[in-house]
Amino acid sequence: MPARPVAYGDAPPRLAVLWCPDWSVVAAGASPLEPVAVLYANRVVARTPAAATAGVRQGHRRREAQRICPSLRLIDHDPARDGREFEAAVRSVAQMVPRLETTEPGSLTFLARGPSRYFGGELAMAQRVAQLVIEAVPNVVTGIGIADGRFTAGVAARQSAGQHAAVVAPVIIGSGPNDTRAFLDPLSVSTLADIADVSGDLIDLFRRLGVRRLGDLAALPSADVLARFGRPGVFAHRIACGGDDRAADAVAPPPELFVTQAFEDPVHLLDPLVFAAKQLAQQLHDLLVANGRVCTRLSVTAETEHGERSEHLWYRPNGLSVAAIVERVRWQFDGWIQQPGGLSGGIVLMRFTPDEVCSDDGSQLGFWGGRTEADEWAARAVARVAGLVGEQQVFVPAWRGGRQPGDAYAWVCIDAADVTEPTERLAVVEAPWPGHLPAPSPATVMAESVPAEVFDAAGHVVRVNGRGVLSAPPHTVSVRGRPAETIAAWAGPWPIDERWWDSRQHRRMARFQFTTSSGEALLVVVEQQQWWITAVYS
Amino acid sequence: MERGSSQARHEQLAQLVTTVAPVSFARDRLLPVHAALKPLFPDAGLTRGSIIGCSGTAAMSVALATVVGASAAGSWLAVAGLPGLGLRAASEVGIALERLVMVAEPAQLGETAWANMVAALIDGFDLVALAGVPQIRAGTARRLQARLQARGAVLIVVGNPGQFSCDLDISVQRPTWQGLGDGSGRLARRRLTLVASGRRLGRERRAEVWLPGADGGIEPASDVATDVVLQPVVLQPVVLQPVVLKQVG
Repeated sequence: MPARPVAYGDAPPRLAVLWCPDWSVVAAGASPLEPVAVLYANRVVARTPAAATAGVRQGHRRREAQRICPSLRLIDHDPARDGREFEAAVRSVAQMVPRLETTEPGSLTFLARGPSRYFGGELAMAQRVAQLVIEAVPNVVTGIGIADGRFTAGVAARQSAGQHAAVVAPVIIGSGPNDTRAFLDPLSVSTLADIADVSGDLIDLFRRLGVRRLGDLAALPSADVLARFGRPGVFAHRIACGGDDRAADAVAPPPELFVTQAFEDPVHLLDPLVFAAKQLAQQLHDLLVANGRVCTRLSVTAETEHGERSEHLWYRPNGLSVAAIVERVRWQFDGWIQQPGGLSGGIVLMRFTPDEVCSDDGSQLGFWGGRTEADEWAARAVARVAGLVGEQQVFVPAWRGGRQPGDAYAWVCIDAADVTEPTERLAVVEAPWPGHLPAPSPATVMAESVPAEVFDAAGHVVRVNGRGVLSAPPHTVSVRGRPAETIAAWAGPWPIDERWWDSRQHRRMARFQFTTSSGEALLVVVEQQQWWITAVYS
Repeated sequence: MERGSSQARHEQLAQLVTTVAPVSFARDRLLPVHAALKPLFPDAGLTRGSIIGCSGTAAMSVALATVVGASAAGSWLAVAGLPGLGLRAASEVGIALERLVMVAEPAQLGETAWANMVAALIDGFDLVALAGVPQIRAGTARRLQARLQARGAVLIVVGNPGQFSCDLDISVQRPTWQGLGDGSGRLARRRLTLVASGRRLGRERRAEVWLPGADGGIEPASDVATDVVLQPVVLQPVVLQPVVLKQVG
């Protein structure tokens, strides 16, 4: 018996999604004929069609991309530029369609029903909107999809953009659960990760369990999905069934809930506006948090003294934090103030109205190991520093394992590592490493061991024979020409014989710990009758 | 008439106070610090925008200990000019290695390039640790310091601070190692008296700590020094035996 579509509450609204792939390169003003890529945290996030033809893909590391396409020009990722440039597209579509909603720069969502009736059908409306965007933004590639629900429309928009046709061909999925399921069922489950932010681990788990298509997932009973995969699984199941991707408890807040700032002196510059937005966002956040709510869709409105108006809906499935609101306000107003011709007057009113709120279930990513704001800052700073001093000079730690104090962790160059994804490189493999010195470890490990001389009480050099027997107890140590220091306490020798199977890397040595009369503690090795200081417990 | 104008001035002043007052209390602009080191800091935390100097025998350990609390709480740490930083010791003391970035060999840079690099680090990282501060002009140091305050990062200078003027200097007194005998035992833990001094501190502040403690971490030391009873560690000579693979069946 064929599985019946599972009904999740009300039917999802009919939405149109306009999607511009590789928006970051378009925003950076790159010509589609030149190979250009935008990097974030050393990974390609967007590339021009020319670079795509050469084989550069999203997620490639810098080195990899440069190897595939040596003439590739690299640009740093700048979210503010993406947001500002996208305002031009938003403004031109807003002439025709009200209540535009943006999730991220490069993607626009709006209710399809009203405008399509006005413009004579969904196809005519979609073509008209795509035409407006192409006229407003040079070199843009765009796709448009119309379907029930945000996820389905998003998939349709990506298919439309992927056609690379001379004229934008909108992908329109018929209304009703049957058409939606017929469209979604053959798609791979990884679509969920690309569009709906379902975690990669869950997708991987689905695959290993043999759930490869969205249809396979949708065929499972929802109660079993909840029992096995928990809330993220139910969310994935719901959208795979063509259900609504909004949180089940999302509601429109009461109309009196909004925050407003009126400026007595009209504001002409962006910075004071953003400063005021910060306080306003905090105010709104406090109002919502008092009720345990978080805003997922926010309407940001501003008006000048002459009545020019900028209104925009911002959507974020995980809820808009104060920082996220301020960032979006900056994108919106930066593009608005800097539009060709500019504004005729200063801004006198700014208002934030929550359009949709849901209960705050603590899905803040940073808490569970996702990226926090500090991580974003650090990733950008790393890119800048690498630009200043050269990539070969910036390092992050990675686990290696070994007996010597310097072996356990190694510094790896950032062009071979991902700064903000440390799980892989720092995964500690708990091998036993017999013979390694227990904690505490030395705080300073010499990059190159320093030759030293160790004498006994009679002034003879101390020797260690092949069986690990000392010629006499060590009494003084002299490091590279410095006056000899008395050894206050010592222990050893702890012999170690490493890589005896490899004639070139074979090392046979004995280790000692010394404390000197000045209170310094040293890790000393003797190898081939030569003493070396390898680390200092500084 | 005069009275009226002074009242008007008062009102004006009262309005000004609300607009120019700092948005947050200085005390709120703190990064957390490990409990054992709290007695060293007047506000029991690292004040954002401050420079902390670490010098003496245990400077590296003290610098790591200073930033442990903030690093564990989610701040990123950048180190420059410390190629010998022992990562194993850093992880034992509690530094989050996933939020650690190192810039090597900054001494080869010229003054401007070095200052640009430090400025970029200050912009992106809450904690910046430097060693081997090169000869820079006092003006460059002041500009970096102003940037530090604007951005709210904390700079830790290991060794000679050069032109930087430290808000707090942490030095070490009486480092005493335990566990090592005359040909026996092993380094087990070190007792330190940390002494903080600085321009804004009335008197020196002190803290007694075990750094590193028995497991490599930080522990507050009680006033009565107690000897740890160490199990003797016998490290056998290690000779790895070849693995003999036998074909079965």
